Amino acid sequence: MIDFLPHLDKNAAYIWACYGLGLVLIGGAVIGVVLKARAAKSALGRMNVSDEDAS
Amino acid sequence: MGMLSAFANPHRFLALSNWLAPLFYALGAALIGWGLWQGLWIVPKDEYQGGDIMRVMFIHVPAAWLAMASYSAMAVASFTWFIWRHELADIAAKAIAPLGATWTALCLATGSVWGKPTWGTWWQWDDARMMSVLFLLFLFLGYMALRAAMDSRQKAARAGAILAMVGGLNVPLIKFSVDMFTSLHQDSSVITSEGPKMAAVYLWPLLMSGLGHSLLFGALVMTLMRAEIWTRRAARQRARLLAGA
Repeated sequence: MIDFLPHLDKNAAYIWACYGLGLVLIGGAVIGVVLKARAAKSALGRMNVSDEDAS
Repeated sequence: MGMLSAFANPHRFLALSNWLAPLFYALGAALIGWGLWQGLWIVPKDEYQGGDIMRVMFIHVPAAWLAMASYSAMAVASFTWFIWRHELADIAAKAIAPLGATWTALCLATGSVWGKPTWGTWWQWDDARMMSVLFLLFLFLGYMALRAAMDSRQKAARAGAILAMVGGLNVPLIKFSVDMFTSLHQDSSVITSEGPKMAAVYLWPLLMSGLGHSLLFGALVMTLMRAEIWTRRAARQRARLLAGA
């Protein structure tokens, strides 16, 4: 076992599974939200350019 | 009412969230990291709570708090939209739903994994706490599906608001389910009428972790709200361009 990791008892697999789930779900939420916001902002930017071209 | 209108201004919200969201991301990540370090490395294991498995508490309990708090926030935002028709309240309710579903799923999944070594089962279908939280997840998913099924934004906001407000009745049911019904789940040990029953060595990391999750959740809601405001602005511009063409 890698030395810097905490030394847990027989239930270590369950504990790591829970923290792994947290990493996947929360990390996934952060990435998804940031990507969605970036896409929305660039879509608005493109609309602004189209608006200026039209006027 | 005037104060509510002042906060409901999308321009003011964009200006405020522009610096508040990054601050919440940073503080939230720092507190969650500190809670993780305390929970996994520092606090002593509690043999009464099954040994090291109690360390799951530092992710499961904040997820459970966020699941209930986020649904309550969605119901309040929906009520605000329903009464005063503030667009920002509808945007907030819409932003909370997928994130609330994420934290509720995390609560259910970590609870299930914790249950196996503690109770000898992943799931108990007649357990009031487990079933009421599962119902909460279905409420979040149902809210999103209902909104997506509507053909106009106004109809989506109205149908979603009604579901969110009615579903709010489930939140106190979750909280008091362990007192009212038989449940494998232990009784409340932090938010009780007599105050916290937990030792300070566990309570502080748990509270800080809960605060960290709340700040991160707040930052994500603000980011999604900003995205929704930009999306609605782009849609309005598109409509204006098409009308002018």
